[in-house]
This record gives sequence, C-alpha cells and structure tokens, in this order.
Amino acid sequence: MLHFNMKKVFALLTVILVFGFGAFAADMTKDPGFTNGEKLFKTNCATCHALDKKVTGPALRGVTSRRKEAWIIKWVKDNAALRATNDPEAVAIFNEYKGVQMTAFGNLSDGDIKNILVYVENAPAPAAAKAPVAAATDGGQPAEDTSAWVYVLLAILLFALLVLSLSIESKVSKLLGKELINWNKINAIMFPVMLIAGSMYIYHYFTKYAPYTYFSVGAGTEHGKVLDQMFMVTLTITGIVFILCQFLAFTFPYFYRHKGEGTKAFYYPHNNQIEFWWTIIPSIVLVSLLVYGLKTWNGITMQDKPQNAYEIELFARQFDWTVRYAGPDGKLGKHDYHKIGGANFVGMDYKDVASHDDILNVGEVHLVVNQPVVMNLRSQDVIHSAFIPNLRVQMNAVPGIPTSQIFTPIVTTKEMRARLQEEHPNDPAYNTWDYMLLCNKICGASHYLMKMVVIVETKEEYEHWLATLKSPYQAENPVVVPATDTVSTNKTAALK
Amino acid sequence: MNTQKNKTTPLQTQPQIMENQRLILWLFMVASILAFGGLTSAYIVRMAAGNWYKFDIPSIFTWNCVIVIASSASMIWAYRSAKNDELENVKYGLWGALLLGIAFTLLQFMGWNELNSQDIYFSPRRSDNGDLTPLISGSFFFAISAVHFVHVIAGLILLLVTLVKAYRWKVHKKNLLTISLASTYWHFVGILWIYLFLFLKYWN
Amino acid sequence: MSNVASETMHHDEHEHHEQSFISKYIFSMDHKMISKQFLITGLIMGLIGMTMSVLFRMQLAWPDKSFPIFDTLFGRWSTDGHINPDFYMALVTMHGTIMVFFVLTAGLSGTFSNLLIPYQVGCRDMASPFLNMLSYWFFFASSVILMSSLFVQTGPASGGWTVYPPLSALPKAMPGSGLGMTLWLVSMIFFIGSSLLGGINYVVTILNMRTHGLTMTRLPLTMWAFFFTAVLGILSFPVLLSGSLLLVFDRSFGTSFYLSEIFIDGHALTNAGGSPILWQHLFWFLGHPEVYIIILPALGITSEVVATNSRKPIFGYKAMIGSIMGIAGVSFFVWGHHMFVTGMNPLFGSVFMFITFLVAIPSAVKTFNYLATMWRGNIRFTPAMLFGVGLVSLFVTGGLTGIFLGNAALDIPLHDSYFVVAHFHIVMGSSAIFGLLCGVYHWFPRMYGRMMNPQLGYLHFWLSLIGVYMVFFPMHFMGLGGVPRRYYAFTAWDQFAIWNDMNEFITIGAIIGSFAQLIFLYNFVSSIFFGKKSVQNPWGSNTLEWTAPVEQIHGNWPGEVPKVYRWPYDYSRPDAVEDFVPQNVPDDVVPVEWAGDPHGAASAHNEVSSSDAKSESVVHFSWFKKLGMRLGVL
Repeated sequence: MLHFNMKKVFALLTVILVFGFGAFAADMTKDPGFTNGEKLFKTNCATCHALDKKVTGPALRGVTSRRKEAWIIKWVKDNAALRATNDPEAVAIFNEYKGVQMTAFGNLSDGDIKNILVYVENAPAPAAAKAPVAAATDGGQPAEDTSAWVYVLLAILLFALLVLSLSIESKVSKLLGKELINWNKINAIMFPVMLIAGSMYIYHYFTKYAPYTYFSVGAGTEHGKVLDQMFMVTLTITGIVFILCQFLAFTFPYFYRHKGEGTKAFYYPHNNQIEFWWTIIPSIVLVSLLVYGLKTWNGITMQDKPQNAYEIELFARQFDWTVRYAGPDGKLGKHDYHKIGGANFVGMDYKDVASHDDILNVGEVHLVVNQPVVMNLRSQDVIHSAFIPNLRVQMNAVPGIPTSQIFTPIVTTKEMRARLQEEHPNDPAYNTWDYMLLCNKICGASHYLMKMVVIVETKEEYEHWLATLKSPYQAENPVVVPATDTVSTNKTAALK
Repeated sequence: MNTQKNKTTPLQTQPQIMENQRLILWLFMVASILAFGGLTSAYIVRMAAGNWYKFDIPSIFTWNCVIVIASSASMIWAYRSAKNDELENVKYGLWGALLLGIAFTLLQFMGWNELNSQDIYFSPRRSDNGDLTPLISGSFFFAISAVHFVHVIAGLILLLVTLVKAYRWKVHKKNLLTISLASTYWHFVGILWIYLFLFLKYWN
Repeated sequence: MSNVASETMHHDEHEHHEQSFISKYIFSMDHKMISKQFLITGLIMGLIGMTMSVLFRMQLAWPDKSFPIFDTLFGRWSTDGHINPDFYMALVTMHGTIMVFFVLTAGLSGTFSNLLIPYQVGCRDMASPFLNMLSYWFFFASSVILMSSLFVQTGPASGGWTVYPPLSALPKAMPGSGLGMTLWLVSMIFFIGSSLLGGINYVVTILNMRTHGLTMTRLPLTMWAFFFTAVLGILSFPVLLSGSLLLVFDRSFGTSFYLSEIFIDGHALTNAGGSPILWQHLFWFLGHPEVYIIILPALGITSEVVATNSRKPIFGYKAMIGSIMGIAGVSFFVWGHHMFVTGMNPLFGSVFMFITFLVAIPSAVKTFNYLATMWRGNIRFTPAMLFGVGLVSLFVTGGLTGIFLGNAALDIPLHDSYFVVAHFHIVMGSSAIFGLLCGVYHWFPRMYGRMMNPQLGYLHFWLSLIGVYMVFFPMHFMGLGGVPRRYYAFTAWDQFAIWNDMNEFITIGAIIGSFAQLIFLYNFVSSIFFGKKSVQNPWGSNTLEWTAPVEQIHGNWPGEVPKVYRWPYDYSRPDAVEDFVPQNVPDDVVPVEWAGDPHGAASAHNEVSSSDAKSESVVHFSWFKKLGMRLGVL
C-alpha cells in the first residue's frame, strides 16, 4: 500500500519549491533586468525614494507585495491620471504625502518599470549588511554619545567655575575698593591674541581646504579659466585690504587702550586730505576691477553664437533634469507645454517636424570637448537652475521664459579625473568623479537630490553614446526603412 | 515724578519744514507713490515683453476724470471758505467734494462692469466655447484701479471726518489743519487718478 | 500761527492723567516703553530663529544620526529622529524671514530709533505717539501670524525667505506654499505697515522736533543713520507691498502676473504671459535697500559707541554723513545683482555691476573712519565697545566678499553657493547682530536704569566672535567647492563627502555661538531686576539721552528740554577739564570751537537771536514752508 502522508509530501514539496525559488531568487541579482533596473532606479527614483527608509516618498522595498504590478506601472507612468480616475489607493497615497505629487515618468516603458521592480525587490538588504556595523556602532554609539555628553558636562563645569570665580572676584574687589583684575587690560590683550589665533586659523583653513576647491584642478571651460584668474586677482587685492584692516582693528585696541589715570586721547576730529586719499584710492582700485569684470561679463554673455556650436536643451522639472539633443537635423523642435504627457514628457510640439528626431535622456548629459555648446534651459513647473561648478556655468531655468548660456568645455571627464587623482593621490573616490550638474534654485523637498551627471568626452565617444539613445517620436512612429545598402543615419547626431 | 508743561520753553527754534501731521501725510503719500510706482513699473515691463492685448477703456473712466476735477474744485472752495470763516460754504464745499467722490465710486464700478461685459476681467474666465481669457492687460487695469480705489475710500473717510468737524463749528480760520490735510490728500488721490488714467489709456 | 502750535502741543496733555496698567505697559504711547516692546519681541524672535538654525545645522552635520529631539519638537515633520526634507526647507525659510525682518529690522531699528530719537533730538516724544504705538502692535500682530504658520496642517512657507514664485505661488509644488505661504504674506503686510508707520514717525521727529540749537550737523551719527534708514524704508517697503499684492492675486484669483507655461500635477495650468522674474525685480527692489536698512543703524550705533569709548571724536563726522547718504542713495540702484544668473538682459547686468561696485566706496570710507577713531584713543573696553570693534572686523570681512559677488562674471559660479551664505551671514547676520548687542549693552542703563554684568558681557563677546568666525569662515571654501545653499543634505554626490568634517565643525561653532547668546539673555534678564543701579551718565557720553534722569519719566526731562550748544563729539578736548563735553554745556563754560582746531569741529555757531526770546510759544517755519504758504499749497 502506497499511502503517502499528504501533509509530509506537501511539506517536502513546499520546502523544495521554496528553496528552489530561493535559489532562483538569489540569481536575480545577476539578471540583466536587475542591472538595468538599478541604473534606472538611481537615475529616476533615487531623488525621492530609498529602499529602506522614507525620504521624500515612501520606502520601496517590498512594494510588489503591497501593490499589484499593473497598478504600479500605471502609477509610475502618470500618477495624476490614475488619481483622476478616483483610484482609492492612489488618492490615499497622495493625501498621506500631504498632496505633493510624484513626477510622471512617461519616459519609462513597462519593461523599464518591471526592471526597476526587480532591482527594488532583490537589492541586498541593508539589515544583513548593517548588522555587524550596527553591532559595532551600537557598541560604539553609546561610547560616542557618552563622550559627547562628557564634553558638555565639562563645559558646564568650566562655566560654573568661571561664574563662581567672577563673582568672588567682584565681591573681593568691592571689599578692597579697587578692581582685582584689570579687565580693560585683559580685553585689550585679547585682541592681538585673537589676531594671532585668527591668522593661524585662516592659514590652516587655506592650506587644508584650498586643494578641495575647484580652483585646484582648473576650470573645465574657456571662460572658466578667465574667471579663475579674475577671482585670484580679486582675492589678492581684497586679501591685502583684509589683512591690513584686520591688523589695525586688532592691534589698535591694544596699543590705544586706557593706560591709567591721566592718559588722554588725541583730539583729532578729521583730516580732509586723508579722507580724500582713502576715497580716491579704493575708487580707482574698484573701478579697475569693475572694468576687468565688465569685459569678462560681456565676453561671456554677449557673444554671438559661434559657427560650430551645437544646441542642447535641458528640461528641468521637480525633481530631475532631461537633456534634449537636436538629432540629425541639428535643430531643436518647438515646444508646447500643453503637449506634456507620456513619452513626450518634455512637451515637444510634434507639429514642428524638427522635433521628430529630437533625442531625450534623463539624468545624464554628454558634451563634446573643445566644441562650443548652446545650453538652452526650460522648466516645467518652478524655477530651477543648472549649476555646473567645475565648468563655471550657471543659469536659471524659468517656466515660461527660455534661457540659455554658451560655453566650451576644454577638459574631458577622463582628464579631470587624472588631474584630481594627481592632486589627491590617496583618495580613490576620484576614480569615479564626474562633472556635476546641480539644481541651484530651491524647488521643493528633493531639491538637494536633483542632479545630472555631465560627461565631457571626445567627439567619437560622444557620437557613440548618442547612437544608443532613442527619440520618442521615432520610437512611436518608426520609420520604415527600405532595404537598401545605405545605412540609416537616423540615430547619429550630425554636428555642424 | 510729574512733568510740568513749561510755558517758557521755546517749542523749537529749529525751523520746521511743515507741521508734524502734514509731514506725516506727505511721507505717507510718498510711500503710496512708490507703491504705485512698483505696479506701473511691473506694467511697463510686462507690456514690453509682448503678447499684450489692447482694449478700449470705457468712456465712463474719462467722465470720472471730470468728476475728479469738479470734486477738487469743490474742496478748494471749502478750504477757501474756511480761511474766510464762511462756515456755511465750508459745509457745502465739503458736501460737494464728498458727493462727487461717491459719484466717482459709482462710476468706477459701472466702468468695471462695462469692461466685464466686454470680456475683460481681472482674473481669467472661461467663456462659452471653453477659451480662457488670461488677459494680463486686463488684470493690470483692474489691479491698479482697485488699489487706487482703496485710497479713495480712505479719502472719503477723511472728508467725512472733516465734515463732522465742520458741523461742530470746528473748521474755521483759526483751525485749518484738518481741512488742509483732508484737502491735500483729496487732491493727491484725484491727481493720482488722472495720472493713472492717462497712463493706462495711452501707455500701451 | 499759535493755533497750529497748540495742536502740535496737545499730546502733552496726557502727562497729567493717571495711566492704567494697560495704557502704561500694553498700549503705551511712550517711546521708551515702545522701544522695550520692540526689543523684547525682537529678542524672543531672535531666540526662535537661532534655535531653528541650531536644529537644522544638527541635521546637516550629522545626517545619519537620529535625534529624538526632532521627533519631540516637530512631530510629523520629523521621521525617526531626522527632520523631513520639506520641513528643513520650512525651517530655513522661517529662520531667514525671522532674522532679516523681525530681528534685524524691527528689533534693531524699532528699538533704537524709538529709544534714542526723542532723547537725542531733545523732545518729549515722537511726532505721533499714537502711530508709534500702532507701529509696535502691527509688528506684534505680524510676529504672531508668522509664528502661527508653524502650526498649520501643511506647514509654514518653505520657499526660502525670498519666496520666489512659481514655487511660492503653487501649493502643489510644495506643501508650505499653501496656507503657510498665505500666512507669510499676511504677516508681511502687517510688518510693512509697522515699518512705514515707524519710519514716517522717525523722519518727522528728526526733521521737525529738534531742540534749540540742534542743527542737523550737530546731530549724533545715530540720528543720521536712523534717519536715512527710515527714508530707505518709506521708499522701498511699498514696492514689496505691491509685489506681494500681485502674488496674492496670482495665488488666489487666477491672475498671471508671475505665472506662465506651467505643467504641474498632471495639468497644464492656464496661466499665460506672466514672469517669475518680475517678482524678483519687485522683491529685490526692497530686498537690497533692506540690507542697508539693517546695517545702517548698526553702523550708526557703532559710531556712537566707538567714539564714546575711545574718548575721541568720531573721525570725519561730515564724511560719515556723506557715506551714509551715499550708501542710502546708491542702494536703490543695485537690486539686479541678486539676479545675475536669471537670464536677464546682460546689459542690465553690466549696469547693476557698475553701481554695485560704487556702493563699496562709502562703506570703505566708514571702515577707515572707525579705525582712525580708535587711533591714539584712550580706549575703555565696555562690552558695547567690544561689540563695536567686532562689528568693524566682521564688516570688513563680509564687505570684501561682496566685491566678488558684485562682479557679475564671478557671480556665475558663486551665486546661491555657500560663498553667498558666508557673505551675508558675516556682513548681516553677524555684523548687524553685533550692532544690536552693542546697542543693548550701551543703552541698557538708559532703558532700565541698571548696569548689565560686564564680565558676562566680555565672555559673551569673545565667545560670539569666535563662534561667528568658526561658523561662517569655512563656508567660503564650501562655496568654492560648488556646494549649493538650501540643500538638506550633501548626499547626491560623493565629491561632497569631503565637506562632512567641515559641516560638523561649523555646527559645533554654531552651538558654541548660540550658547554664548544664552549667557547674554541671562545677563539681560537678570540685570533688569538685579543689576547694579546706574548713575545718570555711566559712560561719560555727550549726547542728550544721558542728561535725563536715571528713572525714566514721561516727557523725558523734568524741567526744560536741554538746549544744544555744540556737536556731540567733544571728547578729550585739550582745553576742557573733563574728557567729555556734553552737548548741552553752554558755550560760556566751554567754547564751542577749540582755538587749536583750525577747521572748527563744531562749525555751526550758536545763534542767540533776540527774536527767539519773543517767539517762545510760536513755531518758526522754514523758507520751504513759508513759500508753500504764500503759494497756498501748504
């Protein structure tokens, strides 16, 4: 008789399946979907979501067990539309997050979103990774906290001692009828002491942190080099004035302190001559700096568009940056904010044929070294600002008012990394250094995460990269290419 | 410690530009001018940016300029009468100014209504075919004339206060400050209207 | 003529009636009480603003650490001991608004203009004590309304203290742009009202109510500074009012003054044709004079304190007046330097840059004059003097970094970076605050009839000076590393990790600096009740406020108002016995001009005309008024 204990069979089957799935699940991190999902997550989602804690938006780990995948896809692509259908879950989330809406990711396909979910559900859990660290810090933290409290206690004790001694001193002084401590002299001496301490402090800061400013590796643009030089000139001049004035401000109190009974100040109410000189000399210096600055400013802002410049557009919205390349025709198509939606999330006006080959990319922009670029800026919702410190570029993106700045990058990312590694030999962080584009006009909760990677590279590398990007119009309206031996050049950007 | 009002103390022998209350009024009017300066500068800048819808200003507003002039004339008559101690005329003059001021108010509302009937609104309205009318030029017209109107209300209150004083026989040759200040402010509000009207009518 | 005189004298009548508690302490119309009201409210708001800054700096320095105090204080605005990013923005916004307007404008100008103007011009009270009282209560209402925005569902305004639209116009863009922003606007409207009422009063009192012999060029520099501050306020606050009105219209009435082509929350908004840059123009037209409204009183106070405590005349009195006028005048034409990277016409950028550089010149002149005042002086270090010297040092540092920022080209990489944060905190947030503290220490005996504890004052000063340089000097480097302001955390880029140590250092400096202010608050409050009783003129100062009795009285002087015979800076005159000669010392006791001073410091002669004796109860009008009267317009 073959009586299987069904319970045991099921248990065994379950174990096999679970382990099987477990084994299968463990493999997901090697799945190409995972890698793609991770990349997409970091570009699109990380601005507002983390896996295990709430940032601007909720923590995402385990979301597939909370919501159906089909719902998630609809939500991510256009949460406003989903809410408009009065979907109860959608409305509930919106209200819970105090009515702040999530960006609509029309640029993500169903497949993209599924990949992101693969990443979200299978990324290594930090709990496991953090456990030993947590143990260490748990053990360490109380010690750390204790040490902080020790300092606080010490400070309070010191202060109490100070107050006590001061009150004793004042009582004794009253008794004796004269001041025990010559406070005037102490305060007077403190000034030159502060001068010395302050000088040491400033010197320390300059030597320690100047290498970390962007001057240390040079500007990445033509005009940036001019700006850096002007900065140094201004620093030298203002530095001299600074040292002189602070020196006087911190030595005069000592030299001209009240020195005892009978000393009198020198009655000297004015001197028109010296007033004249110390008005005229700063004026001349300032006007010279001014002329220098004006010439540079005009050079940067009033230049004609160079012959070989190519146009790009950066589209800003809460909370990401999208670059729009002009495509083979070299012209950016017209835009109309009413047309924003779905894959056309930057609002190109497809009535304008020039927009058909425009290419979009979220979160990363590539520029060609030694070629002038016209960076046009547009914003969907509030004022943002494209700030690329190492290129010395900054321009606001204003809704309703397109702006632009022309510049020429002259140092590739690779070369900048090399320079940084030379400057900071022991710091491996600079292996993965990138030019950063930051949002520099307060735009909401995730303002501090609204970033874009800027890569400056050779023309070949640039064209190679561009060929991997898609144009939304052509993706939706594929051109039927007749089978000829001329290779379609749809995807290659032509640089004029 | 009680202080004594010392009658032998010279008040001040530093020259006064004008009485305190009058200077206070003038400074307030300066501030008001700056506020309108901000609004009209905004208008000019916006207009220069293009896409500016021109519309005809209803003639009611022109009639209001005439009323303004008449009202100021009445006010001048009231003041002169006060200076000459003609107390009945003071009241008539003040009433004239007040009633013309109320007429100004009514005509402003009529004018605004007329603009609405021409589809010029302060804020956009959806018309029957679903088009929106975000006419910034209309918004500016209403905003500027409304802020002016708030000043008119203050002026009407001042006139009323003076009128009440006049009925108590307190406005006369030896007590000209109140009517003088009310008069200055009333002329200011009137001249301001004429300037704003000309600006809104011809600067587009 | 005399009827006019009697009308302006009428306010003296209330001296004779008994004042109730309410009319003496609450709705007081006495300038001395009103000045204390401004001071206390300003200090409380300052404490709140300072606490906010310590809290958000803790979040910045230790972003991974969990602080239970955040959860306790902020409730749902904090998660597991971390401030939420949107509330961080709210704290930064409220900190800026409170400090710029409520502490440094009302707390500084309101306190000292009210306290000193009637005293130093030699009259019994302000031109309109009633409007003065209103000015304080509008300020109070404004404070309450702003604080109430902390407790609304969607939180306080969060778009930075500059509240640029569209962010501040669209509640959907951030929660703080909802009711919180409306309350911010209402609060500002009351605040602007308060400033206008106060400013008008100050101007009229200084121009019209100076005592016998007090010509304009015998006024202390505090009066000149407060006068031009008030003028700046009268001319610039109304423009903010207009701008705010238009923002109210955009938010609530669907107009498009500032809004255009906006797609938010899945909808294309219907607004068209507006310009967010228009708001920036209107805001900064106030905003720039505003920072001079903040610094000028501080500079005026410093002139007074440095001269008195160096026992020397302020060097270059006329040049100082000229500088104040120059700064005030030029300040109206530089507002665009806040907008260099908005994409505005580069030609405007050039113009604004040019004029911005010009304003540096009078500022430099003032600095040199302070230093020259100390030169060969006989310096006595009261806490006030310490803060005065500290102000000079900070003004130099902060002013010089302004030269970088005023250069439109250099501003391209510096705008909205930590370099800017360093600049304005040093020149405004430290220098002007030092002016406020300097004034409190110096005039505390005048306000409360007691002395503050000097040793605690010394400690307060040195800790504060160290604190502000610890906090704000390093920020320059962060700015030059490309770190933007108004960032909740620096986690977006690995390259920002190098600033973590500095962030901690800055926060520790902030904690030390804040602790120092607690010492001051303890000293201030305890001295009001237990401080050593003061003598009438503890500092040996020349100005008129010290000729009034220690016990403050309604009407300031028990008998006659003092007459003025000389300028206020006769310190250490070789031909005088004392090392100071108060303004009301007659010229037969000490001659007005010192024979050894060829240029004649007090060049205005005392006119003792016989007509004065006759025209005792009559107001004497200037040529301006006489002409106006003849023409029938005045």
